[in-house]
Amino acid sequence: MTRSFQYLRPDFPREACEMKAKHGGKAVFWAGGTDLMLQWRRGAVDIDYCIDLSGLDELRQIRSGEDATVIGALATIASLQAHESLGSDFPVLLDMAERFATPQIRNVATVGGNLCHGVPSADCAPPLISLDAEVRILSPEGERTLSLESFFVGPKQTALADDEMLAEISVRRLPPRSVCTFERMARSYVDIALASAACRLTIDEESRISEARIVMGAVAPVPLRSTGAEELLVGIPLVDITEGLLAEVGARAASDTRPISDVRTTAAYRKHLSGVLVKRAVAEAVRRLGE
Amino acid sequence: MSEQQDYRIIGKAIPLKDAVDKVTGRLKFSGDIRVPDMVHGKILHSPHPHARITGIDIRRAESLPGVLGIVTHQDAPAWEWENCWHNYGGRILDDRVRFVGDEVAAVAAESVEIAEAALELIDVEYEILEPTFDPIESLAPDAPQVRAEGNARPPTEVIWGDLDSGVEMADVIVDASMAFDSQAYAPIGRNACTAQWEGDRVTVWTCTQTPSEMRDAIARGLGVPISNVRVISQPCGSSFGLWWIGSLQLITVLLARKVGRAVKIGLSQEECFATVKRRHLERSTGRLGVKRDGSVTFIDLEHVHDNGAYGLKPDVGFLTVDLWGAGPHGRFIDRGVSTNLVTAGCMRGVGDVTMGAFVERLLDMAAVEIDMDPLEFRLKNHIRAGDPLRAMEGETLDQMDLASLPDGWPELGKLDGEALSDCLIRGAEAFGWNEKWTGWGKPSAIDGPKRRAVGVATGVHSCGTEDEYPVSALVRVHADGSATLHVSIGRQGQGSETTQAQIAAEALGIPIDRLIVQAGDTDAAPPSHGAIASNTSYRTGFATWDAALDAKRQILETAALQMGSHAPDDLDMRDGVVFSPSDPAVSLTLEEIMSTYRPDSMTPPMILGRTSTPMPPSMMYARYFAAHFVEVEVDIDTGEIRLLDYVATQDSGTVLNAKVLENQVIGGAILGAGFALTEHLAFEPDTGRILNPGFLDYKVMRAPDFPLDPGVLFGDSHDPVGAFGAKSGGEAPTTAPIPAISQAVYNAIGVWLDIPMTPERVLEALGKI
Repeated sequence: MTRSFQYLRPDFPREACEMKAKHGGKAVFWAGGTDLMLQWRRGAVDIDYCIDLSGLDELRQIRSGEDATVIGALATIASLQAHESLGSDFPVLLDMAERFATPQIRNVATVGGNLCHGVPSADCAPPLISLDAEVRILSPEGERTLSLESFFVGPKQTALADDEMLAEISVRRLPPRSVCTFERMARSYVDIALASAACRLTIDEESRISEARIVMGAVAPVPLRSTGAEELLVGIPLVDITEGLLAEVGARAASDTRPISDVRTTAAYRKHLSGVLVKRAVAEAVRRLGE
Repeated sequence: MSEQQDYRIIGKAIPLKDAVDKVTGRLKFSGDIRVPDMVHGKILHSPHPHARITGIDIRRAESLPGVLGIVTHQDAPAWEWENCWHNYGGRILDDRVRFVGDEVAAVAAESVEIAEAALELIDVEYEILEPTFDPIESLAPDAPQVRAEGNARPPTEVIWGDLDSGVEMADVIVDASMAFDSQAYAPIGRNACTAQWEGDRVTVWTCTQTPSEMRDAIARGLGVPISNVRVISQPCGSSFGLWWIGSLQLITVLLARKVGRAVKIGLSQEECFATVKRRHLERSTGRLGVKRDGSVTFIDLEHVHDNGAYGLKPDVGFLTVDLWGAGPHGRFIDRGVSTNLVTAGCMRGVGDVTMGAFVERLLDMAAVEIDMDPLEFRLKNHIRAGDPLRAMEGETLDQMDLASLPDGWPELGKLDGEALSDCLIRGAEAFGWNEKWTGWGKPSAIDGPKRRAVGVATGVHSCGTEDEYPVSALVRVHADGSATLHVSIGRQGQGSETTQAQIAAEALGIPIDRLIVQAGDTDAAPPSHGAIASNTSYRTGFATWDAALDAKRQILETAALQMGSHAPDDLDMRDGVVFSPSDPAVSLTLEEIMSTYRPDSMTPPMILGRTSTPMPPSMMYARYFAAHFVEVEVDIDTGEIRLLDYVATQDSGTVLNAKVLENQVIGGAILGAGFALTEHLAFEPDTGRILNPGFLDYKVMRAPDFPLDPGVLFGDSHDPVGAFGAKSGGEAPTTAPIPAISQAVYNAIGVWLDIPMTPERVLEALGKI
């Protein structure tokens, strides 16, 4: 049932952290609210204190710097699409944003909210992890930074302590000769991903793969990186990447997955699909690097 | 054709009458209704699939401040209400619950929040009973019995010719079975009911397709005269058969009477999905024989459908039998069975979506064996005008007094007309069938893991049915020459008020903007069969037409009387002006006639047109048809099926309004395609609880999931009975997508699948998972 709650609206990030510290587990941050509202209406979450973050304008910005781009946790998905240089610096984020839910939801949903909800199917996670994104976390005492990959702890669980909030996501400029791709599949045009896969490849001057990132969504308790699959690619010249190797990479990634069966699909299908999507994401990255 | 061109309004793509109100948010839906002094109700639903209520203690809930009253089974009449066409049979509230979500009690309170809080304070003791969920297992005599009548409804059987002869005649016999998951109505708008008693009179605001039937049910159930019940049907976002008579309305009325205040109960999305109705779970098995020349020698089909907890349907309709009954021998059996799942009932295209798809599958499998093009095979075997309607043979026809039928009515028991061949041939041209068809089981293109192929299929539905309720309408002509059509239909987005207005204005001879439709206030409209079974444009349209012609006859008689110089037969009216074909000097506006005193009464005239011609039983002769063409692309690695191209053709008789009908055809195709590919309710195995009661996990097709610019063509036919030759529109287009897509998928990847054809099922069939 719907219950009433205390509504709080901080003016500064630090104040938000203090409110959260004070009320702990009984308080939630309200960013876009697109997930939270559904959960609250369904009775899946109890809210005693709702901390509305809409006053924290500084966390809504996307700043492109020399070395890195910093995405405020409150930047909406639509603002990724609208940003003047994000799409050219990180085309994969634009690609992801365009496939994220509907325009109405993209106008409201935030990058930070998508990540902090902590679901393994979050669309923002695989591409950002493949870009080695880092997160800046604030607390009343100060701040800390950690990799986005280690931010996810379990289903709907993140590394955030009760008094912490996600402030920013930082993505370093990619080395030259890098490409990042994203594949997702869902039951219909507007849907949560049944599985997704992001791949980032960097090649050296001899066109050998020097760095690989393979990250899958919705196939494990957290967005899942397959270092085993990555290792199969590192050191391989682009021209030597065969259909057979791609299949091996997909199979290796799929073997790392620990998917569940739920109302959306079966574990067996998710496992199979993750292999197909990884293979396609890698193949597409290889194709683009070869252009 | 020349007659067609004379129409002022019929055949014109007039925009929906309520389109502007809808897109500007001015249209009021059932959830928008507020009446003074209104309080709010919420319903307590059963957490158990099957249980007896051994104790129910409402004292804690009643003592919550703001709670006004509670109804339980102890307040409900012993009377068992019935929905139209056996879609429900049971008490308003019972001491036994039969599915997770069944209604146990309802609370009225000063606010929704208080009512919700009170639900948690109702203490119910249940004696758990063993549930049954699987349709086939539930047929077994030792299965837990859901209802006093037992689980199994008596089988409905249609037999013609002699099966053994059909088997003997056949060169090839194919057999198959097919399973259909349950499709949700997936209403885009939710429903609410507001009930207000004044003494022993009650007014009900709610969305319903069947205002007249609901009025009668409330009167019977609450023990008041029909005249004391007023149902004012509100528009809704979509219904597809969901909103007829419902527990929602009966509980609200009961609760409002108990607490002595107007009560409104609004349903949540979850309640709309999981506690009202759904399409049946269906299982088909059967066989079909053909000769090498492609002629069908027999069809033998057994079908089972689950009715859920409260449905009582003995069959889901046999119109498919009619469509493919040209063969000399056949047998169709359908069995309805109760289960401890939410009630199943008539959803858009009932039976013809499922059983129709199965018969088409048998046809396809036979055509594969004799290697005949599916288009050619259908052209050869489909029903033609004058062919017998197999499902109508026997008892019902025998009961009729055929001699009493007026001259000119169609011969009963035989199809009065069709343009299905026309649809198939022109649709094939528009689609490019001959260029795209590459043979059975052969993709037309292969690109990596992607296989393309095409499919064609047909479908049929009733042009309304005569069962249960007559149709009627009233046309009032006002002093200024404007008019109101009163007709008892629901407004679920199908555009009926626009097409009914077109029929009335054309028949009357006034401009469309001089006529408004009052659709669904039972105090104002005469009783009439609701907007179900594709009744509205055909049967209600006939009643509207008849009433408008009656009003026109009165107008011309009045004008003749006022002029004193011309006989009524010498007059006509068009665009609101009475004229004489033989005398150009005659020109009287309707307003002039309505404001001129009659010489016999010394008052202005009174014009009230009413339906007086009983419509003949249309199940006995009328059907409408669909033929759809689709190109699909199947990804054999992901199992994903995408629709690339789509052409939908339809034989709806005269097209009253191409815009409205196109919407119906495309909407129907999307609904059918959604069921073919993605839509299915997931039931929790141990409880039957619906696991996806909302759009988050019940996946209807979105606009980009369907080809953006589907072709729509209308067959060239004009029904001999329907208003201006029109037949029906909204359900046949849901019937052809499943078999068309299923056939195309077979051609792409060589497997026949159950419905929906999800990616998992594709990969399982290909042995990949």
